[in-house]
Amino acid sequence: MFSGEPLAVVGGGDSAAEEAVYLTKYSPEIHLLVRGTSMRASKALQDRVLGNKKITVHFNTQVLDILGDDPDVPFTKSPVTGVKLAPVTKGGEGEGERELAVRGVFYAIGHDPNTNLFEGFVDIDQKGYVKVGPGTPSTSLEGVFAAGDVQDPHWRQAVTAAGSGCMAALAAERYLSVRGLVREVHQPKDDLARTKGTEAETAAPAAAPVAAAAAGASSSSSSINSHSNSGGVHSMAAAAESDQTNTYHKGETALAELLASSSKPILVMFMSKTCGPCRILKPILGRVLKVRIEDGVCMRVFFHSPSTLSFSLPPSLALNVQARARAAGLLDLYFTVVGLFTLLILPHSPSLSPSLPPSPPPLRNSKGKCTTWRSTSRSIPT
Amino acid sequence: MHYVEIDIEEYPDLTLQSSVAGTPTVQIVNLRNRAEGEEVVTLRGVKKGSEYKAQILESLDG
Repeated sequence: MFSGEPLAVVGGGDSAAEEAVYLTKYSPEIHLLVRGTSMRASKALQDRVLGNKKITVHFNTQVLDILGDDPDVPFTKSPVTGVKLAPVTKGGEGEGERELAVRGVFYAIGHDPNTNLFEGFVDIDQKGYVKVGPGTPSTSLEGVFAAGDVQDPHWRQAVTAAGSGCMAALAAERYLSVRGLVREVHQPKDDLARTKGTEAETAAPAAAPVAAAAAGASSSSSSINSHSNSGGVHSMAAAAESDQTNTYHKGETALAELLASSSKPILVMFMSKTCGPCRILKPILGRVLKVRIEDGVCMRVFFHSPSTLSFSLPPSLALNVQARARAAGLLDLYFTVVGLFTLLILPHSPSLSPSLPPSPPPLRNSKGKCTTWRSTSRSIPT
Repeated sequence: MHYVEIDIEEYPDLTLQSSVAGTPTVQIVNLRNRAEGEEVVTLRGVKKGSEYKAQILESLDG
């Protein structure tokens, strides 16, 4: 929607400067609107902004209005047509007012921690941050721990938020176990038995799959290389299995072929590598599709990565991996905690969203038996 | 069910054609009645898993 269009960024701080530089990836004309006569951003960032030919900096400028009234603007076009600007130091009424033609306006004017709902329960400082003990996640209320940007006025990085999320999770766990409030949840007996059974199965036919894996690796890696940039994974999938199972594809070619040939519904996920919410959505979709798999519907997953080897896992081992992933549920809790606290503030940059690990892809074909799982070594949970 | 991932930066034309204005956008294309045209459900942004599940079930059963 904004690609190639002139855009405006409001603000003079670090986040505004970062935002402006980031947007030059998509637009050749960025206007940075700064209220003061200088920028508050760090000198290094200022240099990057001032030295960037695509960015025009307007000092002593405030935004009066955002223009754009056309109700019939197509959905894929921005309804914004411009901004109305005025100098901050005013002479007479309406003096120096001007309009600037832009198709998008981005605010980077700082944020307030979203802590209102805790007011009266835990101590909050003047700027709105939850007060914590130095170096700890403990708040003024026993048993309540704060993590992430709600308690961090200084660093406000995704990685520091994640770290403090881990501290808070551990502190909460310790708090509960010291008071004997922890209830341990053990794996159900059936599950245990199944895991044991599959382990035994794995031991016996282990030799055969290894050989198959070696053969699979050489043939599939060559086919990956030959299609590396054209959504060629799909052709591999099609060649490997002609019956209609659930499949994972990438790219327009794959979509076009499916549209032409498939009778099954197609879920198309439009994403971007730099989009934080996409990283949140992917595991959600993964979980949703897994529900269908547990209903007995099959899913074949083909990961696409030209640089790594593909190999096959024996089905029983794949199940085992799933079981282990369930045992690692604590990790999920940790990410939920981090996610929660990070969402409590208004993210200005995509890097604020924690990158969630993709759920391990399960597999089972329509006959109820597991099929080959091709994957990159990176996606196997350990 | 097929899952297709489209990087909007790699395929800008397709993205425009599909009326996708932001990421993430999920579209579920039902090809059951091909003769009557494709039925497309669009879900913009990040929604609850149950919403995707409901749509998927509908496209599979309905």
